[in-house]
Amino acid sequence: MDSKLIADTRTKVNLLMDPRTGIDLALDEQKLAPLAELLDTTKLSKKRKVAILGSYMLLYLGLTRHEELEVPENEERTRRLLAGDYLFGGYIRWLVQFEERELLTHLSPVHKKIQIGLASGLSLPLALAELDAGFRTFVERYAQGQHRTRRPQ
Amino acid sequence: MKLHEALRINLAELNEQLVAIAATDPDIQTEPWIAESVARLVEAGGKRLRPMMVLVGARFGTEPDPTNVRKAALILEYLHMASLIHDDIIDGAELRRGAPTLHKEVGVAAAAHIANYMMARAVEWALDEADPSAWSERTSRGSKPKLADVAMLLMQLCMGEYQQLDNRFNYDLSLSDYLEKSRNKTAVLMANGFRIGAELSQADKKVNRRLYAFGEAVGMAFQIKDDVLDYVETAEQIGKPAGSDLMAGNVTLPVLYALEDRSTPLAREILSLGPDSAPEEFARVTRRIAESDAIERSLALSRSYALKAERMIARLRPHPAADDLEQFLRYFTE
Repeated sequence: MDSKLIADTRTKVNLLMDPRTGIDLALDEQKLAPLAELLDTTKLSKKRKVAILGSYMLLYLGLTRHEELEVPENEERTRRLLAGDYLFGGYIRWLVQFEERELLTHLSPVHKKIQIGLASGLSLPLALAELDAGFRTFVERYAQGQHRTRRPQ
Repeated sequence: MKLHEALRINLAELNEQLVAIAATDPDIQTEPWIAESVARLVEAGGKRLRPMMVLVGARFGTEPDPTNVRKAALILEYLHMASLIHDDIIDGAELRRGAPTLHKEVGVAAAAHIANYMMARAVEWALDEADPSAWSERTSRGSKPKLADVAMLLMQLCMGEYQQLDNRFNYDLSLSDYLEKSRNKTAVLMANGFRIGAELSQADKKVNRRLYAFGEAVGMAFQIKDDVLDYVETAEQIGKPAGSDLMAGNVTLPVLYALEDRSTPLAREILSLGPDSAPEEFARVTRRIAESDAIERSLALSRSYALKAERMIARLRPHPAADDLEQFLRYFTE
């Protein structure tokens, strides 16, 4: 596994976040490992690998923050809601910065369908599995050369 | 005359288009209740101030781009509506515009995810059939507003809420902290609404900057005035108990002014308030702040922002759309 890719991605994602949000970006390396390993098998540039892994990290954390909201009204619930929204904004900004239009276009319906599922009672583990599948599809399509690699002008 | 009428904007058409964003989503056909929930939110009403700002900002352009302008206007409102769902959860609100809030109808988790769905759908809809030049952060033609703007706005709105949350009952809050929070919570969205419309229509860069400054000044004037109203208006007038901000620990401008001289009895009373204080203590201090000169001083600062907005309008004349900005200024400050 490319631990350096994970570490570099974390560092760059951290730069996107305002420390005053107090959002903890700690995400078990094991959670990032499958996608990092898959990326390792491709000829994607390091920049694109960071873009993909970073967007996964932001979406993953955003989804987990918006779970367990059925708690009494308290500050923790407020912070969870704000963190999820902030991470979603961060995810879009991240992909725009990396000029990853293709990935955002691919992920938008994936993320949207996950939210439809969650609103209808889908469990978080299944939602995260959908997220994994969405990223895997994108990377595998690229690896098979089915994806355009040209960046938008 | 209502604001949208004065601005010659068809509100019913905007509402229809807002409903259509979810209703035309093929992925939601299996869960029609979600589209119905969104439709109910739209039909419950709303002033649609943000889209109107985009549409008016666009009137300052030199190359009309009605399709992208309308899209930007609708996306801003859609994100605003989604953020209101989360705000209602945070505030534990039971009613919005006289109807039960979404989380009271479908539960907190489902409501939170419907709001997330709306944000995700807005992005998907923005990318759908998008002009490729709308992608990059800055294009060679000019500085078209992009998804990056929307993302930045979402993050700044959250920052305003974080700043409020982190400063509950913080009586050492500085004036500049208060102003920054107000800017993030309210003024930035207004400033960008006008700017986005103008940029999409290729307005002159100087015009874009003045529209941004106008929106920011109006937003600050409005937010300060809104903070004052929490002290001086009745529960019936503001739709929530007077002094709600103080009870929630929100240290706003009247409190900061009242605390300037900490040796006064009023300042000492304010400093004694905390999350566990009794409602009658909050009510007493609220009345005393309302009777103090902190109110007039706060209103004076609000007026100074309104004057700045007026100066921006003067600089944008003789463009005919400058009269539309007057309408906004009157709406927010009178």
